[in-house]
Amino acid sequence: MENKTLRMMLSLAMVLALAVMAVSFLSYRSARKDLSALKADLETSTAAWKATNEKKLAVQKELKAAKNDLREANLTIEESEEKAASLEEEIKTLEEEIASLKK
Amino acid sequence: MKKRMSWFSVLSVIVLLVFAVFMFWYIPSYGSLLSKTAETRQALETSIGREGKQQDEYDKAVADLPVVQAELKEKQPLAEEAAQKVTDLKARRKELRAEKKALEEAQNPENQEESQNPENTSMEETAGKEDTTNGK
Repeated sequence: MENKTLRMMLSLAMVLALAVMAVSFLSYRSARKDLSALKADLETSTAAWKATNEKKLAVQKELKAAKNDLREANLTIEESEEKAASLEEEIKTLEEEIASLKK
Repeated sequence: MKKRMSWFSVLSVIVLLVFAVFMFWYIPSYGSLLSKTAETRQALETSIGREGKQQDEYDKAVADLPVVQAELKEKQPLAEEAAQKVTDLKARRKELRAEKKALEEAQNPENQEESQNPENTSMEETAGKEDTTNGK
């Protein structure tokens, strides 16, 4: 009777052990699959942001050059306007002086 | 019966031993796998965030570029025109200075003689140099 009980308990333990091993193994495989998928997504995402970054840097370089040219053009306009005003005044004075000399 | 029991015992021991070994391998391996998965998920989230940020910055630069280029296209001719105007005015001033000088010389021959004086000549040269410098 004792042997029979012991045998039943051992059988139950073996079945449980096998079931736990099977479930654990399946869970492990699933986790590995998830990890592989995540790694692939990470690679894709990293490649995507690096490519975008390169494109962005190229456009930003072009933008910076255009902004510099624009700033330079604005500065030229401003300086030239000031200089032109001063020259016009000087020319006016010279013209007056010449007119008085001609009289 | 004893023989059968003995066989069953051996099988039980083997199965339980295999189970023990399996669990000995499984617990740290699964833990490590979960940890790697969490790290990778975190890295992926960061990467996706970075991807969005880069895309936003790229879109902004792409949107700004035509605006700046259009403004530049509009301002560049104005700048060239303004620079040309300064050059023309300088040329006009030079002409008027020469005219004034000629008139002064015609009206005051004494001054003309003075102008031949080396001191005056050097002063005129200095004025001429100023013109050249301004012209640059």
